[in-house]
Amino acid sequence: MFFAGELGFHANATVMPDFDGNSWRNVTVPFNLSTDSFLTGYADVLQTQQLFRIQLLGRGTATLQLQQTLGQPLSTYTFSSISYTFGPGVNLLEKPGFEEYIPPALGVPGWVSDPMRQTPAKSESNQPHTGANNGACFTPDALDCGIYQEVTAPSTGTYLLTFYATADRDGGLVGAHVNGVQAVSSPVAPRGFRNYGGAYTMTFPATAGDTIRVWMFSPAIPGYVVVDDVSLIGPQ
Amino acid sequence: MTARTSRQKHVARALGVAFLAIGGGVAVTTPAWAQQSAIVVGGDLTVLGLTSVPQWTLVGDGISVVARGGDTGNPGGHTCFPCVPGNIIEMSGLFGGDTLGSGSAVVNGVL
Repeated sequence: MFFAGELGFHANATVMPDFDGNSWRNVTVPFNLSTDSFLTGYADVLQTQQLFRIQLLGRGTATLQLQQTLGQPLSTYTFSSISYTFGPGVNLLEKPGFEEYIPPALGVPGWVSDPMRQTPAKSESNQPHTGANNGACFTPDALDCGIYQEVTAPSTGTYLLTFYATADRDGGLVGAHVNGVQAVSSPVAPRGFRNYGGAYTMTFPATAGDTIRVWMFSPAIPGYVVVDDVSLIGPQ
Repeated sequence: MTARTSRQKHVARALGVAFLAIGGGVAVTTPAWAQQSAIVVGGDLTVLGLTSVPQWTLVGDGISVVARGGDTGNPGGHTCFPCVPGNIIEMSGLFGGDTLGSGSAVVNGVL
C-alpha cells in the first residue's frame, strides 16, 4: 500500500540544556498532531486507486537524541535522531507511583503529607497497584489524613487527572485544586484491600502559571485510603 | 409470451449488472469511507540521522499502519547540527506528500 497525506507533529520549541558530561542526551517534550493531519492509502504507486482517507488525531512525546561532544575550545550537541511516540502524554507529577520512596518516606520533589491533617500520610509496600509501592493514609483512630503534590501548570487548557485508589470505608476523596480553589474531586469507593478497579479520571481547566494541587483525603474514621499510579496530563 | 420473456431477461440482465456494479462499489468503498477519523493511541515516527527517511507505525481505533517514508520530511531537532546549550530548537515536525512512503495497513479490518 502507498501512502500520502500529512502528519504534523506540533510541539513547543525547547532550549538546549547545559552539558552534563555524558556522551548522549535526550530532550523530551509533548506534542499533539495538528488538526489537519490525515492519511490517505492507495493501492498503486501512482496513487490513482484510493482505498481510504482518514483524519488522524493523537498526542504523545517527542524525544530528541543528541550526541554531546565535549572539547576545547568548543563543545557542541549534534542531532542523532528524533522519535514522535504516540501515547497519553507527559505526566507532570513527580514520583507518580511512589516507587522512588523508601517506605514510609514521602517528600519533595513529589508527594507531601498534608500537615493540616491529624495523622500523617506515608508511602508503603502494602497495596501497590503496580510496582512495589503505593501512597497511603491509614489510621486505627478517628483521625483524618491527606497527601498532595503541587505543580505549576505549564500551559493553558484542559488537564486530565487520573488516580488509582481504593479504601475500606466511605469518605475518601481524590481531586485537584487550582490556585487554592477546588477544581475537581471524586469519592473513593470502598473496594477493599488492593482492589483498585478502574481509575478515577477527571478533567479541569487551568492557565499557564497556575498552581495545581493534586490530592487525596482520608476521613476521620478508622481505616485506610490508598492511591497509586497517579497522572496529571496537560494540554500541548 | 416470447416478447415478454425477452423483456424479462433484458431487465433481469440489467438488474444483474446494476447489482454487480453496486456490490463492487460497496466492496471497494466500504473500507475507504466507513471511517472518517481515528485517534492514534500507539506507535511512533522515527528519523535516524539527518538524511534518513522516517519509519513509522500508527495504531488507533480501527487503524494500524506500518510504513517507511519516501523522503526525509522535516523532523524537529535537526537544526541542532551543531548547536550549543541555550540554543532554541524547534521540536515540531512535518511529514507529507511523498514522505509518507509505503507499507501495510489495516483499516476497519481490511488490508
